[in-house]
Amino acid sequence: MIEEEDATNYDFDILDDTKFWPEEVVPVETIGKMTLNRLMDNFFAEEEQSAFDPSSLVPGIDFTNDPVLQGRIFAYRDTKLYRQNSANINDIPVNRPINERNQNTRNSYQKHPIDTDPVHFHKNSLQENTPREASEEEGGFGHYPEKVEGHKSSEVPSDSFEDYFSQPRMFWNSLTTVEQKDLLETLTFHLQKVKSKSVREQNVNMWVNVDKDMATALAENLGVEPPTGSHVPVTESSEAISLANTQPSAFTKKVAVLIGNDFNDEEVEKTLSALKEEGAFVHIVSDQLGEVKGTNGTALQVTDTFLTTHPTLFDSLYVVGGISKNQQKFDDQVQEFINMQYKYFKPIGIATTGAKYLAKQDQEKLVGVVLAEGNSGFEEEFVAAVVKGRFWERQ
Amino acid sequence: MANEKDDRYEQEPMDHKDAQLEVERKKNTGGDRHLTDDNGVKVSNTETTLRAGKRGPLVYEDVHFYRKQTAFNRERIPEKYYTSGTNRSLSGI
Repeated sequence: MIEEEDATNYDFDILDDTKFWPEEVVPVETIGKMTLNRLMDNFFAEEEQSAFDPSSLVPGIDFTNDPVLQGRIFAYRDTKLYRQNSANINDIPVNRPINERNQNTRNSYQKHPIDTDPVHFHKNSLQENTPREASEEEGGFGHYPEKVEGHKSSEVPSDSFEDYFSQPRMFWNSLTTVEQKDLLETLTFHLQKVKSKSVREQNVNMWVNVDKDMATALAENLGVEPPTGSHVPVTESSEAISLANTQPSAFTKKVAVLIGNDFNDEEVEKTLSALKEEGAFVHIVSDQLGEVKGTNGTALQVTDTFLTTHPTLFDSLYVVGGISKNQQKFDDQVQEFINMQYKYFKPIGIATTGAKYLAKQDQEKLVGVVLAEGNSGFEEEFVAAVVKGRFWERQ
Repeated sequence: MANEKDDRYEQEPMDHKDAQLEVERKKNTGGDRHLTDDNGVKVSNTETTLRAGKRGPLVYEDVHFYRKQTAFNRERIPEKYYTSGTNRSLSGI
């Protein structure tokens, strides 16, 4: 949050919503908490018809003069008017407020309340001028009397609105090498689809403002001339920008357990409970739905099959292996999962029964692959690998 | 500059239907064409909104913004994927 008197004390304009407020400059403050606590029952009734709108304000909140926000005040409601084909958007249960509503509006389709009042205008004598307005002291909404100066104008609010590259340069400076490489790949992915060589070249000459080396590498990937010029002279960075600086955790990470029959009951149970203890979501993946059984009779319900899921949907693998009716196909699928997870730098745990999926010579040198064979600390090591998330050293 | 790839305008109509549609075909770009509003009035600024002072709020009389926005707000959005029944998972997109 920024105090009103500090509004112009930053090198970015707080009215410019294309700029971020670096956390080191304006520290994050928690002002509330929104809890997502259930899934919807009817997709159309509860999601498609829900109308989020920045102009739904409560007393104490008002708009800034951010030109994009100002446009959105109109745009969201207007979009909903079209999609619901009615002005009674807030009569739809998902949008209906908990508060009592007393209004003089009566028209438009999908009107739900059947208003029985003898009058529906303000002011009226027949109902003693009710519903009456509430003063701000009584809790009525009032706009903040912000001072407005100058002529009607279409000029940008300040010169810094046209500083397009200082913050992107700062963003680039703040990334780790892995993240920079990933961003270059993302740009390459999108721009390699662009048919016009001229547009590809213009993009390279735009990105050179952010980083010369990156734009030069991009030019090579796109088959265009290397850029002329160089990036803007910004050396600042912000730690909060890099995801590498977030606290890693296994909480809510998805782990696919690739498993068939005749697994080692004790070993698998220990690993699964170690994962669940850290809040990881464990999916039992096999070639058929139903149960898979351990040699001592422990039964696990299969939640996903090789056909219905995909390696990229998981944060990690726990390869148990086992016996299947179609062993060759089962083994091929396990191998495919391992290869793809490894390619995307994700941690892999290999149970004693899964060792056959890795060639002996690979077992030693693979990074982020934790083997249970002869390893009494397997569970902790594997959970630590899941917490870490990615093993960029594989690059 | 003429759009060299778009040669429909130089082609002979293929058939009667195509000849009928040809009447409706229209180009907005190229040559010395200027941007206009829906009354054909030339627009001097389509990039920034009109505000009560350079740093002030948007004014309602910015009809160019208003009309552009109403057209934009009426785009058709394909319905999102979703699953129903016992699964009740979150929508796909």
